[in-house]
Amino acid sequence: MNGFRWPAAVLIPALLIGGIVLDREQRPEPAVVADAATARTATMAPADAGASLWYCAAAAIEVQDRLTIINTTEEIRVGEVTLVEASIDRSEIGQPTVVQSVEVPAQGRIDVVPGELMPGDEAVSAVVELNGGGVLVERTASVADLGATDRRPCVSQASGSWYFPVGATVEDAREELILFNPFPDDVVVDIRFDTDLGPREPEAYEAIVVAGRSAQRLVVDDEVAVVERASGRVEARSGRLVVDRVLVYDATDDRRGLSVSSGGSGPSTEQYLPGGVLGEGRQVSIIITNPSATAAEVDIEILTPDDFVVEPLERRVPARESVEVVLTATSVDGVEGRVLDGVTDFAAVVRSVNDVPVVAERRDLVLPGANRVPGLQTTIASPVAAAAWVIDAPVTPGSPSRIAIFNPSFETIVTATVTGPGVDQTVELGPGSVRIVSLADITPGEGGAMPLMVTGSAPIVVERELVFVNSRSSSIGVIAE
Amino acid sequence: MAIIAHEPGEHFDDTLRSVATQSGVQVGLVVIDTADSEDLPDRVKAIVPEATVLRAKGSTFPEGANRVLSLPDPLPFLLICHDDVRLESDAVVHLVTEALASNAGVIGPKLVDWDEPRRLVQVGLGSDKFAVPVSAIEPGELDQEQHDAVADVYAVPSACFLVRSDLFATLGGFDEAMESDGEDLDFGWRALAAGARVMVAPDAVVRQRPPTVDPSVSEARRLRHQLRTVLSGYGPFRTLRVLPQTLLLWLIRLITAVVTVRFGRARNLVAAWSWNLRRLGAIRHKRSELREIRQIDDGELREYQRSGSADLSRWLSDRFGGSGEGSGVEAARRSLSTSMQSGAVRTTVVTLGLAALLMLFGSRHLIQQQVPAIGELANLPSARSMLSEWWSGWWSAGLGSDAPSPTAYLLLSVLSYASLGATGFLRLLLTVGMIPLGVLGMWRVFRDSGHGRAQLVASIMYLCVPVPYNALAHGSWRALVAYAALPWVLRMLTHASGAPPFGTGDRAPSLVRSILGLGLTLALAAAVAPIVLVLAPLLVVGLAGGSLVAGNLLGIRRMATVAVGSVLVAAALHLPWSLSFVSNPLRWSPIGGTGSTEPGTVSAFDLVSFATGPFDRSGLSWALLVVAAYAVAQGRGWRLVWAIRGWFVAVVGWGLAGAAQWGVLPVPFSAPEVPLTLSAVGLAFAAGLGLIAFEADLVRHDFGWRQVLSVIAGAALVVAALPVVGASLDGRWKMPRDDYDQLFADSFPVPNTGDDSEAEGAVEGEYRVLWIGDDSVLPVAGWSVGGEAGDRGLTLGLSDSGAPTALDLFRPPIDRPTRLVREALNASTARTTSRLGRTLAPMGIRYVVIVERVAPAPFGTDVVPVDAAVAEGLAAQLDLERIEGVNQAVRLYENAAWIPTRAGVPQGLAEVPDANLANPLFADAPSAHRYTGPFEPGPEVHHAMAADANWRLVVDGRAAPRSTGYGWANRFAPTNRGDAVLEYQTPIARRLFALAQPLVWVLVFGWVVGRRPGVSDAETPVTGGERA
Repeated sequence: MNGFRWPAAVLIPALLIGGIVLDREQRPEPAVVADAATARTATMAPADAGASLWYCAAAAIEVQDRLTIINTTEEIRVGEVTLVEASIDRSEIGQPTVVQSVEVPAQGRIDVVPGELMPGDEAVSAVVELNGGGVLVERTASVADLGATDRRPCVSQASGSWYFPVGATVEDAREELILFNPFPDDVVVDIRFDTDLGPREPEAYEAIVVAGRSAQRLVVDDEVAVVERASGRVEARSGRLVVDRVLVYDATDDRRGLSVSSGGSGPSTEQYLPGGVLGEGRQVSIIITNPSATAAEVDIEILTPDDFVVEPLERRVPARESVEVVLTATSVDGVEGRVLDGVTDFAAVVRSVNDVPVVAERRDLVLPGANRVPGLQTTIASPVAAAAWVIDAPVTPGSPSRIAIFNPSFETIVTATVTGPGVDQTVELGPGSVRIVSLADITPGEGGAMPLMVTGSAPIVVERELVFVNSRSSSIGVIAE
Repeated sequence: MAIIAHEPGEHFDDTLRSVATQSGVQVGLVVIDTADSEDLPDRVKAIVPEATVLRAKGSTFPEGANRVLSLPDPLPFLLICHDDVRLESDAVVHLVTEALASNAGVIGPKLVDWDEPRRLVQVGLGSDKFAVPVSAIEPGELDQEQHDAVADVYAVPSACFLVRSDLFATLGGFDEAMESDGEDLDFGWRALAAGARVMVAPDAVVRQRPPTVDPSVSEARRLRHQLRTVLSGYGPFRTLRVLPQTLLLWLIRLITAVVTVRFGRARNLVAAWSWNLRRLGAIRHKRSELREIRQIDDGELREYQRSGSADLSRWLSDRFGGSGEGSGVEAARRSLSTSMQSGAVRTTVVTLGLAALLMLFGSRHLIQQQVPAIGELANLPSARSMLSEWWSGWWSAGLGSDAPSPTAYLLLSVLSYASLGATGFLRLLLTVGMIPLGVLGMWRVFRDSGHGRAQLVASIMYLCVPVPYNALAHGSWRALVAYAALPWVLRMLTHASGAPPFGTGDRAPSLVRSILGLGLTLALAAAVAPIVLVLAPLLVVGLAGGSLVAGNLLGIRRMATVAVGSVLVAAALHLPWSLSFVSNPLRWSPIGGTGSTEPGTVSAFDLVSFATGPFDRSGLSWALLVVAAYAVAQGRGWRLVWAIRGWFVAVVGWGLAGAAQWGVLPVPFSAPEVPLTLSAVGLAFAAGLGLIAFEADLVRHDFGWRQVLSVIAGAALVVAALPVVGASLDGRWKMPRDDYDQLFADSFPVPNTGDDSEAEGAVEGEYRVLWIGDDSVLPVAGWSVGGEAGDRGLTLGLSDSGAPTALDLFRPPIDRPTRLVREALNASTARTTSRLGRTLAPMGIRYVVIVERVAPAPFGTDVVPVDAAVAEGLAAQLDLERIEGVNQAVRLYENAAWIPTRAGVPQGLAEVPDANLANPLFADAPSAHRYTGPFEPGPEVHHAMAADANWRLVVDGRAAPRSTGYGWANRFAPTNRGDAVLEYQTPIARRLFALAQPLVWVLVFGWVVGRRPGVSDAETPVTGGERA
């Protein structure tokens, strides 16, 4: 039984060595499991989804506040709204819950007024569950005394961490945080602040236990007093929750306005703020929070609709601290900041050049003046761009409310289309450019409210600015899957 | 003189003539005819007219011999003979003379071969304490007067012996329960105990014809008679001492028989005990009789016995010394002693001894504590639960199915019963024990090659391959079983090939026997690791590939035929379970698992060096390739051809493992060690051939590079062994120090089953646990998640209340109810539901567990993370409560909306009820799939098992109407109160299948074992002719 040696003596080593070399050079990359720290922003479930879920930590802070449930589909949506009282006294957590069944007509909307269902002067948190997708939930908050109104979408996901770069507890400002745990298990959080006077880590805000299916209301002024800037970080040791910030400027010092906003839960290396405006009587700041343990080196790019070239601002954001960048259209005495001559509308991109994720928020304080509706606008930056967005457009004829559409790509021209009942508007966006679309111009003249879809041929970012009679509000749109 | 005749042949005339011509003594002949032959009286009278012929039709030899007790006027001596002996003319006078001179009670002659009187047959018998006869001679030994001294012995063969009549009467003759094979030793034992001398007088020569026994029948009798003698021959205290030793020795013999595939011998060993246990009364009577006549105590009797174990001595001699033809024990001892003086044998014995010690040392913590229940190495449930699960016809895995349950349940339950409840030890054998089993298989590959050192090298090489140790660390039972099975597969294939050195090339074993034998082996392994049904043909592919390269295809066709046939046989033996493999589409998951087909993280470099786990990070395992390469460099002829074949088997294994890591295979392997078992076998095989090449081919060459290469290969083998030595230091082969058992036992409450309603922590209602994770770390078998999470290679599994067991290692084909679970999980991942708990509630799912490590932190260090979308989807559910503080390796959620698997729910409610509206029912479970308890009318009964018409609920004798609940479960609507029984009524056809399957296994076993060539046991000397 004889055999040949040399073919095997050559072939076997060749196969082994060849295999090893080929493996080293051309082996496919192993499948990468997506990391938990994916950037988040509010997302509307697709119309064919089996369910919609929205959380509103500050569904209502005053009795007249309301939730608006908007159905963008051709089918009726039914579900439940679960209201939980957000007690300011922690010993009273776990207040009774009210569950309200709702039915939203196709292409229609309903309002739910928590104050009617849960009488009292406490804040109310809400969970809105519906039996299908294509539903958007917004809350409208107001402070009757100030005549200030804020309207923005709720959030679609809970998170273990929330960041609020904008905050203040000076004499004319009041800040509250609503911690809402809609899940059955308890969550333990720590709340820390970085202020213009240094870090603040109140003892009372260490290891706060938010029991399952309960909400708590914290008055930040009680623990972090008299700071112009209080950038807050709410971080859960375990579990996840929803957190809203209520910020009120009470007009003592000409500054007035209301912002009831969820925080940023998705730090990223790029943060987009499409709808900035500079001008007389406007105090615009971009506050950047760095939640990580490494300092972030950020560039702030300012992009204008008319492609005005502005040199990027460079800032260093130390670990677990925040930095405020003041922007002005002209030089103002006593105000340190970057003067952007000739810039009115602008989009800002906060880019971390050393890949340390950050959260950015823009604060617009519009002071009373001629032809100016005063108010406070805070906009948490979007950590992502998407090809489709939905915004609700409650528009009155002639209203200066508008949307800003931003193309974050510096290589692609994007065609963006705004559609809705009786609306079909197309705009073209060059690389890295922003376009402003007046809602009054594109919506039917009789006014009213309607959901608008903004779709792009490539990922875009959309911000809505609402101007009411006596106040204003701005927010990033909702991604439509 | 009494001759006990049973249809004697023509030689009987010579026998009679030899009696008639005895000189010097008067011999009165009685012939006892145990067959009632018509012509026998005439034959006897023709030669010995004065002889008497007694009829004793149907009697055995002892019964026939005992007839003399009834004869009147007995003479002082009795000479008792078989019908196949021929006495020398002076035999009787020599016996009588010596008996008188020595005052012997029993005396026997020198037995020689009838046709060749120069060859000795027997010269008295010795015995060890286990009643194993010890012969002083080698069969066929030439008579050179070396045994001609008169001597005291323990017994004399019953072929021919002289006994004092009074002694024979006192002893009551032979033990009539012993037909043959041991009756003489038992007689001698009792004679000694009665104070008589038992001697041999070699001057008396008797010729004896060769026996015509069936070796297997002889062995069966011999074993049971040995045991009977041990049970009856000692006093009570000595019995208490010897019996445990006997048990241990028989257990070792049984294990050896099973492991060496000598199932007939194993059967005989077991049957010997059952035979004796059925006759305990007779044994007690015999003991009392002996007690009355006993003149010497057991201590004195012990002095007559051989020390140690005759069986063990003979076994050692067979393996390490002697001619290999089987030998008497004395000769075996001499032969062994001589052999041990040989360096080769000493090296082998020492090396194997060290290897065994190393295995024990490296496994010491696993032996002392327990093999951790990680991955597929699940704990075994009770034997009863496994057997009843198999027998019931309802497979409760998942959400229940009428699919045939795996044969493994039956086999594991049998093993569990056989282990007498020592399930921990059984687990040790079935897991860590696979390593020595594989090494033994590799030893057997070369056993008949005539090259003992090749066995040693191949075995050591196989022991040093990191594959089984990494498999242990990863909890891959499939890989361990494949590691154990493939050498046996290789052995059977090589022998089936008929090619040298495993055959002569022109004469090969029967194809049918080869196919059945290999099929049986594959079936045993496939019970736990069906993947071997794929690996076995791939082994042949490797052999064929090597044949093509080597340019010699001898034996390949036969091997291929045997491989294909045996896979079919194995699949047939697993019917109907194996049908689940071949449904349309072909299901891979029960064969190879449900893992990811995405590219993995193990490089080709690591695969070739078997560095897939914690075993060898030093890279010394590369030396294994050097050892195996020697055969290709040095070998000639069949050594070269087989070595190349072995290498290509290894290449196939590496190729398969590499393709899996590249993500180009359409199916996953549960662990990279599984395909690497092929490489391990191939390399070890080549290494053994290298040793043969060293011995056979190196001599042809003058000193040169070949000799240097030999030294290098030898040194490489030593280097390759170092990692094993290093890994043995921790005493657990680098397995994690803990498992999830206690963690889950603490996390999952025990359901109240009625009997233990007072048990601490018992909760109402049984439930299920949903497991999510990678197939390689989950403690249960499951189904691929698919959908949103499908590309992530995730598996979901279900288990019943409590920690998972071996019952959860197998899964039925996915069906509609299980798909609902999958769809629900995907909806959670896609965030299209916020109430996953409610969706899972009707399935009784109370806990959802994400597992990311094979063992709890910090012991499980390798993390296989679950995709964030899946984890976040679960975290976003409003009715899943995260249970914190369990362990970093798992994420545990409790379903706030769960309802028990047997619950009373509001009537007419189509939706899932709130948890507080569902009440647990029927807590008692007297047997598998039978639940009882009181019932009060009002609610409907929800039973979270897949809807099947064979589920019945009977309340107070009245059957409740059954419908389908929630589109998949059983729903009953009883209207009366009373004692309720909810049970699965097994279809008759399923029962018949369940009865037929073990019968088929037994038949195949019997056919394979019964027709094994060379089954005769050469360990025992032949003591007499066969009697009916």
